[in-house]
Amino acid sequence: MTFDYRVINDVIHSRVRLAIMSYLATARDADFVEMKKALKVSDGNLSTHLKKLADKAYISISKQFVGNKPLTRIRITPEGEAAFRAYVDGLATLIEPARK
Amino acid sequence: MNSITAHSAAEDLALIRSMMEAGRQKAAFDGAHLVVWGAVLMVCYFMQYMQVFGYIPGTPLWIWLPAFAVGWGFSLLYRRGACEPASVPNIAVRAYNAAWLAVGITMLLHFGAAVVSGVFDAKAITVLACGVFACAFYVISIVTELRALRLASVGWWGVLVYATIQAQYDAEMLLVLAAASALLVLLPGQMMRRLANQHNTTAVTA
Repeated sequence: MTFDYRVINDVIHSRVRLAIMSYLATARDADFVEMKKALKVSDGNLSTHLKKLADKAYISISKQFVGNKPLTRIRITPEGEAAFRAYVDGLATLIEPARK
Repeated sequence: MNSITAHSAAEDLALIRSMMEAGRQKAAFDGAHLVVWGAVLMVCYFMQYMQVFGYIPGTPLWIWLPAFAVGWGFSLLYRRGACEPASVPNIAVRAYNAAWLAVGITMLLHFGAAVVSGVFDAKAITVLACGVFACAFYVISIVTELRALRLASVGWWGVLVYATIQAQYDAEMLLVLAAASALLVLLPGQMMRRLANQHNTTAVTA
């Protein structure tokens, strides 16, 4: 069975970006190191995917210093939350008929 | 062009589920609090039990004051980020910290007031401790959606009822509290730490 690709959000439809959005959907915010640990991906890979999500305003990225250490903080935005919810709903509608 | 099948959708949903679970259980990193406090309480209650029968000299204060110093010292260091320097507390962690800070302040105020006034009611402090522990575990279980933690809150409410209905508040209650500290504080803390470690072993590939 194939699915109407137009309802699938291209930005979220990547394993790493999907994992990032899923994590943030419940954690709300996270820092870069924590995110890297949770996803087990490299710095470069994570940065690339975060940038794609930030370009679409699905997440916001802020940089600050804690003590002398730089800290990259990532938050899910309302737009990101809505897009994620729509993506999950789309997947669910695909799986439902397959189960019947 | 995207081509997505029911099979890949199911895989994606499995990934979503596991990552959402990981996000929810961020508070699991703080399970160290519970492990330390559970161990401290267990040892203190047991030592106090031994003291009642004369195996350990001194007064309960000699046991509890150093214990509070160890527990609070660890908690404050942990809150300052000594253990997780790069982490940013999310809402779950903030709720977790707030719940346990409220428990700590409540118990410390009650204990301090009792010591200063010389009016020390062992039953009252036990019932109060059971109640605030149960509430804190209940709040954490809701925030993290870790159902197992609800068992800890039910357990503390059970101990609260047991302590309340005791006509005679004897030394055996200290043994009950030592066991409760191990089963209902230390064990949940260890479980949270184990969950946190599990999340760190799953890799996501593009």
